[in-house]
Amino acid sequence: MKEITRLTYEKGLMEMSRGESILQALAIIAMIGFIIWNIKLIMEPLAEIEVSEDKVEKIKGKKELKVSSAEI
Amino acid sequence: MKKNESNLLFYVSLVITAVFAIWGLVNPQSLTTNLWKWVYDFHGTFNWFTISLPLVFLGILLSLAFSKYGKIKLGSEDTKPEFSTFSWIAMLFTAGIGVGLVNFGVAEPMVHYLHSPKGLAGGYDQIEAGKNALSLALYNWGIPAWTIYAISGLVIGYFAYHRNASFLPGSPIEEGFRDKPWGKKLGLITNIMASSAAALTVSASIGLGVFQVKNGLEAILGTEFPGLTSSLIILAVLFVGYTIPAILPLGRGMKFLGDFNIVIAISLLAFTFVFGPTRFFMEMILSTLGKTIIDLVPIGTNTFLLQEKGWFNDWPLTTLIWWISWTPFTGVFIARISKGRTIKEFVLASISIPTLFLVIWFSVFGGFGLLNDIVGDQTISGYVLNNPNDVYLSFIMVLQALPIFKITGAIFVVLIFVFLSTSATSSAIALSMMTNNGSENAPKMRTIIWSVIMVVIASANVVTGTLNGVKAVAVFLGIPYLFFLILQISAFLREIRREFSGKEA
Repeated sequence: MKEITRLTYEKGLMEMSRGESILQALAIIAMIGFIIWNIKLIMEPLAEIEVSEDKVEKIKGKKELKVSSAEI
Repeated sequence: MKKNESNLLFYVSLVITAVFAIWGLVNPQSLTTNLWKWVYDFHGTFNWFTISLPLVFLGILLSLAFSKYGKIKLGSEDTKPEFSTFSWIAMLFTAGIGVGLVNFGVAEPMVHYLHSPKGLAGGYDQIEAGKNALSLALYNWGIPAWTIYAISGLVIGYFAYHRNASFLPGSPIEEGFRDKPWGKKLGLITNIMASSAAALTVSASIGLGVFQVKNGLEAILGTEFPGLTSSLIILAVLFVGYTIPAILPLGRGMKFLGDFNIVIAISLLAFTFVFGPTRFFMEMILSTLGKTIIDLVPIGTNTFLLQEKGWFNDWPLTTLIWWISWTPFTGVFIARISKGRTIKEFVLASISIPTLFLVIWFSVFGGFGLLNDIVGDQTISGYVLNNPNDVYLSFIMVLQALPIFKITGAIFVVLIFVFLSTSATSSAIALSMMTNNGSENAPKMRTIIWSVIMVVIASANVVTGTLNGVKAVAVFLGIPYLFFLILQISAFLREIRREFSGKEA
């Protein structure tokens, strides 16, 4: 995988345009957001997970009910 | 997963695989240039993230292994391991590293020695540069690589054996986030992405392996095989070699290949160890072992601040993403063979044993190359320096410098051949399982279909010489898969927290 990667696309920080620099900053903020979101998902209080599970089950149940009424 | 979802997964993965394969065939230059540009843009922005990721994964795995969760078994309490520890390690190893071991065993330390900022290019003297080269090679191949594989296998295995989920990379997301409306959809996207990445990654390896086998045969027989016929014959033999074990029951086909590989690799290693400079090898092994452990954090947090990052992008960052693009199938495969192991046993064995073997492997083969530069005639380093696009021949050069090359060269060819077959076999099985509801036993017809697809892509690459394009695709697909892998891990941590909260594991 490595031999062709001698092509280097490294760009000096000073050569970056304002637009590129802002885009890069946004991408980094999005990555940090993704990390925080994952930590939040892991640490979600157990009671909350169960409540959401019930909600999803209820929604699924309603959908199934709709389908079966329509089928009828 | 329902049958229509399984078919959707199968056909969409096929289409994505085909799109990249056709792009590579029609306009390889455009594919290679564009994809590498995007990969390098990612490296440029997120090198701090990629390089440190293995340390985070390792922290998670060790915390699990040495906590109450370490006692959790992959399977029910009374499940016994399906394979002996030797066969399990052999299969883990050959599926995870495969042919790279011989491709990069000498080449990678030599490249770091010559070109890395911690090598001769960075102003270090030969001895320091040599020691640094091995420690850098081991960062790319040792604990970080195996940490990525182990965490992926553990997560998929846990959901498969504890929640009865399918053997699919997307199952942890689907199952672990079943309370979220997006869980199921994201799980399906993960599976599609995983199947395409796995097919393309392995096809690239098969194509590369064909050239390696050809190089090896030419070196042993002292004659050249011009034209495509010889490459296509090698590919055809390879196809038969990986398809037959893939359709045999897993316990027979893969176990045989795994054991066979390890025995051959150890024989070659033992031969070089005995007939090469043994005392130097012993010193090198100990020095590399120490540096591998000590340098783990310094390398994992080194972003080569304000330095030119060509080498950093080419090697550590690209290699880490390359491992991630392999995890869809190695994760599924490792999960499949690890039934009955506890989390602690799984984590410690799957990281430490392959790493220890790699320390010895790189110290012996890479060490020989370095010694050739420092006190020898510098033929190996000269070759690597002058042939940056074909560094792989350096492994054969080490064998050529030792006695009975005709025999060891033949063993080398067999080793490449069987390593490749193992990777391709495990990949065909994993792809077949992935695209068939993640069933525990791969259906033979889908296994054959994937085997054929892989050989078609590989043959197209051999014919057009566009291997770099497929490699670019594999690394490129590894980037989005990285985010799905993180979500899988989050789902797993959330799940064990929920399942074992407040009770002894």
